[in-house]
Amino acid sequence: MVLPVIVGIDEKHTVMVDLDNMSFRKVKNLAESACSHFKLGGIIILKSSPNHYHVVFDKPMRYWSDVLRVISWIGILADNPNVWKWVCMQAIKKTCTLRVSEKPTKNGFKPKPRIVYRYGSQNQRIKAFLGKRKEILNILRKVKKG
Amino acid sequence: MGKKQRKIGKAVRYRKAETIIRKLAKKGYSANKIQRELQKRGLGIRRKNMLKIIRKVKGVKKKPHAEKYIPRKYRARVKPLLIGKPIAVYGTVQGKSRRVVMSGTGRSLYNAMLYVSKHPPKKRFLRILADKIILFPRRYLDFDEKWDEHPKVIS
Repeated sequence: MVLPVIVGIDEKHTVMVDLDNMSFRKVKNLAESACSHFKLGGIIILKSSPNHYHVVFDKPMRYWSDVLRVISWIGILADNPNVWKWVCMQAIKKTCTLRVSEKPTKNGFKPKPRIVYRYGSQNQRIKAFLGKRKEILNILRKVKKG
Repeated sequence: MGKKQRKIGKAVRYRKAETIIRKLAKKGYSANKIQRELQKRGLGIRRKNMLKIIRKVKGVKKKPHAEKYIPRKYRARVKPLLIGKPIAVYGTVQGKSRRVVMSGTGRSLYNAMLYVSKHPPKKRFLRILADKIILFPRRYLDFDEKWDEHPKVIS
């Protein structure tokens, strides 16, 4: 059973990016260059569907403006209208959101994002992100049962 | 055997230290020198309090952003970011997107999810504590409407 809603993690202090319509190689290069340019410690890449990836960085940011700076930088380098659209949406909301649950579509559903690549340190925001993700997935499992 | 030194009470120590601080500050001693002098005499007090007395003698005010004059390794540690557990639940109702951002403990998030997964919020964008949804579901959620089966939204 798939819920009609999408559940995601809402974060103000973690740099998270949704990179759509991009190859894994390009996502990896982009994420690693952002990680070294802004000294973000480590990264984790999750695959949400073919050619759609999520990237989470390890270093916590105190201010939203810092997060926005990084995601805008990635948006410019990505040279992809889907990413620009996503970045604009996050700027309006003042938080970054990444999907955790499955996503119902016309042709069935998209599976929940799964980890495909890890690089660098993982024990700050990535650890928190994965913990929260696990908690949400547990909640959703219980909701579907009940 | 040497004579056992009597321990001075805190109040007495502070009183004695204050007179010495005033005397040395008037002479133009730096805070570090005064502190060393006090320690020699067994009258060590909190540096924060000592600086307060020195400022009073010199007639100067505390500088704004005083922290930047303390070497980084001695600065009080900034508390780690207090990050809650907001989760975003979003979808569409008749083609228009609606979103609830809830925060709370795991239990309250679960109980709120039971409502939110069935009924969309009245407002298009709702940021709320999960406990409030549990207490007053009809105030925040629209029980007459349902989420679309296939939402087309941007996260």
